[in-house]
Amino acid sequence: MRSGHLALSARGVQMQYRDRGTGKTLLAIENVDLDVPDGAFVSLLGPSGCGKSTFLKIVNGLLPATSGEIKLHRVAKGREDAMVFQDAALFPWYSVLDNVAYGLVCAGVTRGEARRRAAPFIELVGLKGFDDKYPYQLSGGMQQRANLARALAVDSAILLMDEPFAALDAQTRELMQAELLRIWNAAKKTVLFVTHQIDEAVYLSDRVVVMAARPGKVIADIEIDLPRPRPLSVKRTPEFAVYEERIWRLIAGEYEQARAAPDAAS
Amino acid sequence: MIAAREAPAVQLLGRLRSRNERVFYGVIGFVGLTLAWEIAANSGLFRKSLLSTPSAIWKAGVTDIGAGTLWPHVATSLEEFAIGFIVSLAIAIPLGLAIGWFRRIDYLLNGLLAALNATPNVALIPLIILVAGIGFESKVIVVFLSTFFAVVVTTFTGVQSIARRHLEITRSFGGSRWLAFRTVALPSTTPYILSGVRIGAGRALVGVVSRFDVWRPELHR
Repeated sequence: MRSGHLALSARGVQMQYRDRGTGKTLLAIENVDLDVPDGAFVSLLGPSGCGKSTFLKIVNGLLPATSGEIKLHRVAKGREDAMVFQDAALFPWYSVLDNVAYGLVCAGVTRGEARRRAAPFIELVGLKGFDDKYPYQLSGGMQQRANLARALAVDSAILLMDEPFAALDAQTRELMQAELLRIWNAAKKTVLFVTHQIDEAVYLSDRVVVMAARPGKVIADIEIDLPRPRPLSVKRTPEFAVYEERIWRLIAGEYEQARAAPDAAS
Repeated sequence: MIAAREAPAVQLLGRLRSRNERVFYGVIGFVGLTLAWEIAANSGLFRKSLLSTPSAIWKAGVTDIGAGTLWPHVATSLEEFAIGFIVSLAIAIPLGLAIGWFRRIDYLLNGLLAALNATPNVALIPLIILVAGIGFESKVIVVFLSTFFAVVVTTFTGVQSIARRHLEITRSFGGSRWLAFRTVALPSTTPYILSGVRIGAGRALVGVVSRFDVWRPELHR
């Protein structure tokens, strides 16, 4: 699975906004370097406002970075990257099958061919038999499965996931985390996963990249050395708790600093 | 077995109600108002020369239809309505979509359309008469104008209301702007277009029966 290639290599990525009200320039992301090896599961973890979703959008090409460089591993067919959106972001006027096929349609594949190629991914994410249903007929968890299938279907080198389980209830979220690991293992994908939940990042990842806010920057890069496959019961082990504690201290420490000097960052 | 003792008419009403409540109560509302009007007129609540009665209107209608004097007028009105309405939709929907989709077309036309939309159609009627007379063409123009702005504005609003995240999906997967227009803009704007068409149809009906004959000199001799 690990071929030694880098699926993603980011160097010195900066993002500045000009505040329309004050005219001041705000630094949203400061000098982020990140390497994601082929086949790895890497999480970007941080509080809201740390620019982790913005970074994902820059990688996806939805936003232009102010400066820096993004290199994505080229693949012979398909896109380099595919996004799994935060709110499932399915089209209410399309069936599940047409929604999952849409990424391929964007790549210029004809609708019939796109549907044919999308079908196995609907099965992979556990939505078999729901092809003709519409998004409003699905639960939140099932909508996220379709969202994931749409990104898997374009066969990209890296999967970008923007807090895909944030809106789900606690039980469904845990179930989806386990499902994601099963699918990740079956599809042999590289994943860059954005979340603000420490346990989610530790449970899923090979590496957790911790970010701090104002300006968004990387403050730690932690290898998660828990054996795979990981059943959900891993979350109840002492080793897991140690990782959680360590990351929590990092984030809490940053928070204390920011409170002590609220204007230092601007 | 109380139900079995009820009069057959009451039983029939009960069956009709359970079959389709919407139609049942709709008919009751209509019949009720008509009866109240008739009774009020006959009891001398107002002068019949000012407001006729439903029975008199019915009689006049039957006479007109029987004499064949109503149909040619209805046919003419329908034709004026159909031509003005269809031409209006054919221009207003694409124009509303274009203004909503292309920023520069919006800048170019928005102020102009807002000003024209604020102009009451009644104010334009003298101008229309000067240009097109008082016949068929001027009625078509009135229908056209009555529909046009409602449809342009609602279509434009529809395009403006497209969810940003839906447009982001197409962009995220590398789809073209033309693909986004066909697969995102059109389906999400359709409900707005339809409501514009409904509003426009209502206004156009008012337009087609508008009384141009106020200016017909033979009526003022």
